[in-house]
Amino acid sequence: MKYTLGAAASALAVAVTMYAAPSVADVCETPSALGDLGKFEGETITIMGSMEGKDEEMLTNTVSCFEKSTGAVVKYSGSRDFAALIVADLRSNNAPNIAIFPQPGLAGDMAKEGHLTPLGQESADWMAENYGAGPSWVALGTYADADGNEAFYGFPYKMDLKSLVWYSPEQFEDNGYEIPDTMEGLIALSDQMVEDGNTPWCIGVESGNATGWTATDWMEDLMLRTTTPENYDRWVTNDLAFNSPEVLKAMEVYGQFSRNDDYVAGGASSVATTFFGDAPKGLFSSPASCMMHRQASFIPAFFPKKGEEVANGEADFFYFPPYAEADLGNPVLGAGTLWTMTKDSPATRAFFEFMKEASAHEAWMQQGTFLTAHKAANLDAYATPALRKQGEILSSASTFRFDASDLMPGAIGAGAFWSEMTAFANGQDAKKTADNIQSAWDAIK
Amino acid sequence: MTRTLKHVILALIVFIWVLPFVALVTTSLRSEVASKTSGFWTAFTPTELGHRFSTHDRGEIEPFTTMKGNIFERLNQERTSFEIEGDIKSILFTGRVPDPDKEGKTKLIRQLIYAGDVMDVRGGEFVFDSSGDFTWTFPEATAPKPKNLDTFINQNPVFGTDAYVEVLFENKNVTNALISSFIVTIPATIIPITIAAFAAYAFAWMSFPGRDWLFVLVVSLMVVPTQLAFLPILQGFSGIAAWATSLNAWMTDCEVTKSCQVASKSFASLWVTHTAFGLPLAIYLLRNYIVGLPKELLESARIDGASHLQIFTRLIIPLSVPALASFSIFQFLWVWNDLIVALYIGSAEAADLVFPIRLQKQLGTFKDQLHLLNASAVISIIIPVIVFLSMQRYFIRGLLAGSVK
Amino acid sequence: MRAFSNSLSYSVLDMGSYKPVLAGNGIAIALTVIFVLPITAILAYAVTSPLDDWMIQLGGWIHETRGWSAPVIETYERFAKIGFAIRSIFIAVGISFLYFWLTNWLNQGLARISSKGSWGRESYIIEAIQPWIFIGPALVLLILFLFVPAFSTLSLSFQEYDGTRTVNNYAFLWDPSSLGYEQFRYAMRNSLMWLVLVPAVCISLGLLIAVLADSVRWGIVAKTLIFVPMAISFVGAAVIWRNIFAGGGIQPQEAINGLTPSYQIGLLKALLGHTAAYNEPLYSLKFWGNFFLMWILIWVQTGFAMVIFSAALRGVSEDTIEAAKIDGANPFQMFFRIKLPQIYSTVVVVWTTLVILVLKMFDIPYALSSNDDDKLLLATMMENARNNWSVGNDNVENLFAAIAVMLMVTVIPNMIFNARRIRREQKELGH
Repeated sequence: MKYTLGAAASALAVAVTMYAAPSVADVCETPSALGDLGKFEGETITIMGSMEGKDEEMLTNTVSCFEKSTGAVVKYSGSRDFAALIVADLRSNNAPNIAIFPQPGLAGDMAKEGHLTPLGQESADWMAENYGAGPSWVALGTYADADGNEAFYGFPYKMDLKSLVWYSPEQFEDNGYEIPDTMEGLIALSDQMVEDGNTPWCIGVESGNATGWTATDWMEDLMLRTTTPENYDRWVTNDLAFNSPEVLKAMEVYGQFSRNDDYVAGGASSVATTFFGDAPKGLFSSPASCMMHRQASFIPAFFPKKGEEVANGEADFFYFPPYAEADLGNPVLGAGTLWTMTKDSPATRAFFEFMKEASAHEAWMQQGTFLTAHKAANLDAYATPALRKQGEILSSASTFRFDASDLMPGAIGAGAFWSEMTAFANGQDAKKTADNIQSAWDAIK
Repeated sequence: MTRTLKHVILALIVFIWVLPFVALVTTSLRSEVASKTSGFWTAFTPTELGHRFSTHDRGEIEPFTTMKGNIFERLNQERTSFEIEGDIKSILFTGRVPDPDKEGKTKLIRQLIYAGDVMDVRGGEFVFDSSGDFTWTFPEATAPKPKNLDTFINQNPVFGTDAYVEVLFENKNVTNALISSFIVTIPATIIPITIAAFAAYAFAWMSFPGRDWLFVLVVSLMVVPTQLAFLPILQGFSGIAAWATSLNAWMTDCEVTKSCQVASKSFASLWVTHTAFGLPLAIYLLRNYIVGLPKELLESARIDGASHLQIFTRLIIPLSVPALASFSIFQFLWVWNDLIVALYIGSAEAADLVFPIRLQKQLGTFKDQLHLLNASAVISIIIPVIVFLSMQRYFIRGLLAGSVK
Repeated sequence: MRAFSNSLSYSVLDMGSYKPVLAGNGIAIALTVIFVLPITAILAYAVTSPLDDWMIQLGGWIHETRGWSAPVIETYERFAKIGFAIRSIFIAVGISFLYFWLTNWLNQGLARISSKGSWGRESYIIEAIQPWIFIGPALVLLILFLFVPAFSTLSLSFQEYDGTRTVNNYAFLWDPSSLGYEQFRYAMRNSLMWLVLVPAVCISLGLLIAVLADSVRWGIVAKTLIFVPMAISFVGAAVIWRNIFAGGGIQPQEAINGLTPSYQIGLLKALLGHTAAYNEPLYSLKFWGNFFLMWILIWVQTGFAMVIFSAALRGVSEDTIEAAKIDGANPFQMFFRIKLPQIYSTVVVVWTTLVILVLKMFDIPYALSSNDDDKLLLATMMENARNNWSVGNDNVENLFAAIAVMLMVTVIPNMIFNARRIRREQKELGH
C-alpha cells in the first residue's frame, strides 16, 4: 500500500495508540512491576487470533502495556474464521508474527507443516517452573515438527474453566434448593425440580459450524467423573477406543441429562437447535425457564446483562460435582489459548518475554474474564470475587485436564466429535454415535 | 376483467416480496426481549410479556410498616429507551407450602395473583392494581430484603432505534468500513466491465480460430468456486509483494523491516481478484447482448472502412449502455455484499475492513440478538438500494420501463 | 480493397508464410505489453503520489472548518485512502487505454513492416492478431485466477496430504461403507432438487412479472420492489426470512397451568397454528425444509431474471407483435408464440447463469442449518470439508478438492448445450 504517509505511518499509528492510552493507563498499573523488555521503536508486530468484541478490547488494552514499554506497535486482527484464515495465510507465506490458537490440535498441525518457530527450551523450562502444574502446560504447547522432533511452540496464556454450573441464587432460595456437592445430589436435585414443576437444566449446543462443542464439554466433564484421568488421556489419543465401555458410559450419563424431556428447557429436541449463548438466558427469564446451566467461565458475557449479574449477585456458580462413590477426587476441565510465533522478529521475541511477566497476566486479570496458572501473578488482581473463586477452584483441583476436543486432531475434535454428539442429542443411538466417531478416527490413522 | 386480474396477481406477488422487509424493519426497531419472545406482527398491538422487577433497591433502608410504589417505575428505573407501559395483568407467586398429601414434606406451588388480591411476600402483604401501584404492609416495622417478582404485563407497543445505535456507533470503525467498501467496490466494478466489454465484442463479432470453444471455456469458468482459488492467489500475491518490497528498497531509501514493506493483502489485490471472478459472467452477458445487435450496422460500418476498434468505441459501446449498466449493478452488488473474498484476500487491518466484515465482527457470536441482526441487515441493504435507485434514473429507466420501442 | 480483406480467404501461395509472421508479431506485442505496462503503472503511481498529500491537506481543511470530533489523524488516513483509490481508478483506466492504443499501434506498425507492401497481407495480419488483443487481458486474468486453480484442484483431489496419488477422496464419498457416503447422498439429492426447481421457478416468475409489469402503469415500482432483494447478501436474506420461518421464541413462554399464552416469532408458523412447544423452524423439517430454503434463494434471484427478461422483451420486434395483433392473437398466444421464441437465447443465458449460481451457493443453508445433514448441498459440504478436514494428516485431506471437482463436473451438460447453441447461432449470423 503506497500511501504517501509512508514512513510517517508508523509514527502516526504510535500516536494514535498513545492517544487511546490514557483510558487504559490504569490497566498497566499492576501489583507486580514490569521488567525491562528493550526498545523497539517503529517496529510492528502483527497478531492474528479468534477473539472478538469484549475479549479483543481487553487484549488490546493488555498489549498496550507492552507498546508503552517498548515503543513497538502491535496490530491485532481477530476473526471468528480464524482457523480457516490462519491456515490459508500460513500456507501462502502471509504469516502474522504471532498466531493465537484456541485449539492445540490446530497448532500442532501447523507445527507439523513447519510454519511455527520454536520458542526454545529455555521458555519451556521457565514454564515448567513458573506455572502451576507447569509440566502439563508445557506438554500442551509441545508439538512435533515436520521431521518428527518435538519442540515447545505454544505459550498458554488466558484460560477458561469449564467444570462450572451456573444458577440463580434467588431462584434456589425461593424454591428452597441447596447446592449439591456430589453428582448423586445433583441428580436428586434435578429430580426434585422436575417434581416441583420446574425445569432443572438449560442446554444448548448450536453454534454455527461448531455446533456440538457444548455437548463435547459435557462428555469430557463426565469422563473425568466416571473414569480415571489416565483413561481420559488414552481417550484423547484414541488409545482408548471411542466405542469402549468407559466412553459409552459417560455418553449415557450425558444422555440422562440432555435427552430427558423433563430435564431440559424446551424439551430434548431443542438442545441441538438452541444457540449456546441463548441457553443460559433461561436462568433469568421471567418466569425462569430453568434452574441450572453447566458451562465454562466465559459464559457471563452471554447473560442478558452481559455479566453484571455475577457482580450484583443475580447469578452465581458452583463446581460441577463428582460422584461421591467413584472416589476420583475433584477433577477440573479447562481450556486455553496458545500463543505461537509464526514469523520471527526481535520485537516478537520481546513480546514473548512480556508474556512471561506476572504484570502481563495481572493487567488482564484486572479487566475481567481471564484466568492464569502463573504462580507469581498476584491473586488480588482478579477483577471480581467470582473470578477469584474460579481461580481457587483451579488451584484446588486434584486433577486437571484440558478440553479433549481441543486436543484431538481437527478432523475429530472440530469435526466428527461435534457433529456426532449433536446427532446424539437429537436422538441417535449411543452405540452408533460412538462407532461413527471411532470410524472417523480410523479413517485418519 | 383481465386488467384487474393483472393488477391483483402483480400486487399479490409484490406483497409476498415486500412482507419480509416489513418484518425486518419492524424487528430492528424493537427491544431485544420483545424481538425474541413475540412475532413482529404483534409489535403494533399490546402484547403480554413477562418482566422481572424488584420491590426496592439493595442496601440499607429504614424499617417500615407500609411501602408504596409503582411497578412501572421500578421497571423503568434504569431504562433510557423501550420504556415499559401498559396494564399489569398478574404477578407470579412461587413458594413452598406444606404438602397436604405427604407428611413433613413441602410442595412448590406457583400461582398467578391478579390485581387486588393479596400475596405473601417475605411475610408482608403485597397488593397491587393494574396501573402498577402496589402496597406492601407488615404488621411490625421491618426492613426486608428486596424481592424480585415476575409480572405479566399487557405491554403497549414501543419502538426504539437502539439497535441501530448499537450497530453503527458502538465501534467507530463503521465509517472506515463504509469508506473501505466503496474503495473496494467502485474500481472492482469499473475494471471488469472495461475488460469484459472488449472481450465480449471479440467473441461476438470477430473471427479467430477456436473462438466458440474458447468462449464456452470462459463461460464454464463461472462454475469455479471462489474458495478454490484462495491459496494459489494468496501465494501469487505474496510473491509479488516480496518482489515489490525489494524493488521499493532498491528504489527508495527505506529499511526493509519498517516502511518498505509492500502489503500482499490490500485493496489492489481485492480489485484484481474481484475483476477476475466477475469476468466470466460479464463476458457471457455482454456477448449475448452484443450478438443481438442488428448485424446490418456492423456490416455497413465495415464496408465504410472502419476498423474493429473504431466500431467498438463509436458504435457498440453507446448501443450497449443498458447491458453495461445492468451488469455493473450486478457486479457492484456482488462485490459490496461479498465477505469471503475480502476476508481472505483483503487487508486485515481494522481500518481497512469492508462493511460486511465489520458487521459480522460487530455481532460477534451474538447471532441470537435478533434486533441487532435485523438492524445490520437494514443498514447493509440501504446503500446498495440507494445506488441502485440513483442509477435507475440515468440508465435503468430504459431497462425497467415498459416495452416501448 | 479493405472489404476484400474481411473474408478469411487468402492466397494459397501465401498460406504457410503467415504463421511465423503472426507468431512473431504476436510475441513482440505481448513482450512489449508485459514490460511497458507495469513500468508505466509504477511510474504513474510514483508521479501521482503528491495527490495523496493534497488529499490529506484537503481533509485537514475540511476537518477544521467542519469541526469534526474524531481525531484528525483518522481524517488524514481516510482522505489518503480515498486519494489512493481515486488515483488507482484513473491509472487503471489510463493503463487500459494505453494497452489498447499501444497494441493497436504496434499491430498496425508491425503488420506494415512485415507485409512487404501488400495491403491484403497487412489487413490480414492486423485482423488475425486483433481479436487476441481484445481478449488478451481477460484471458490472462481468467487463466491465472480461475483456470490454473481449477486444474490444481483437480490434481489435488487425487492426492493425499503428502502428495501420494490416491482415489481416497472420491472413495470417501462414493463408497457406501465410508462416513461421507450418507452425507454425500443427501448433498446430491438436494443439489439436484435445487438445480431443477430454483432456476425454473425464477425464470417462470421472472417472465410473469416482466410481462405483467410491462402492461401496468405502476410496473416500474413493482419491478423495483422485486429487484431490491438482489441488493441483499445471502446471509442477510437468511436473517430476513428467519422472521417468517423461524420457530418459537428463543425463550418460549411456558404455559403455567395453562394460564400464559405461547408465542411464535415466525409469521408462517403462527399462521399455521404451531404452538410454542413446536419450536423447530420451518426450514428444519425433514426433506420439506429444503423447499423453504430454496424459496429464500428464489426470492433473491427472481429480480435478476426479471431485469434481464424485461430488457430482452423490449427488443422483440414490433412488426411481429403488430402482425399477431392483426391476426387476433390473445395474450397467451402472443407471449408463447411470438415473444418467447424471440427471447429464447436470453432464457438460456439466464438459465445457465442461475444453474451455476445455485451450484455454487452455500451461504443460505450454511447460515440457517449448517449441521443438518438433510439440508446439505454440494457447495455446503465442500465448505464444511474445507474448514474441518483440510488440516491434519488424515488421508481425506483433500476431500474439499474432490467435492469441488464433482461440483464443476455437474455443469458440463449445461455447457455442452450452450456450446451447441452458440455454434448454431454463429452459423445463422454468418460467422
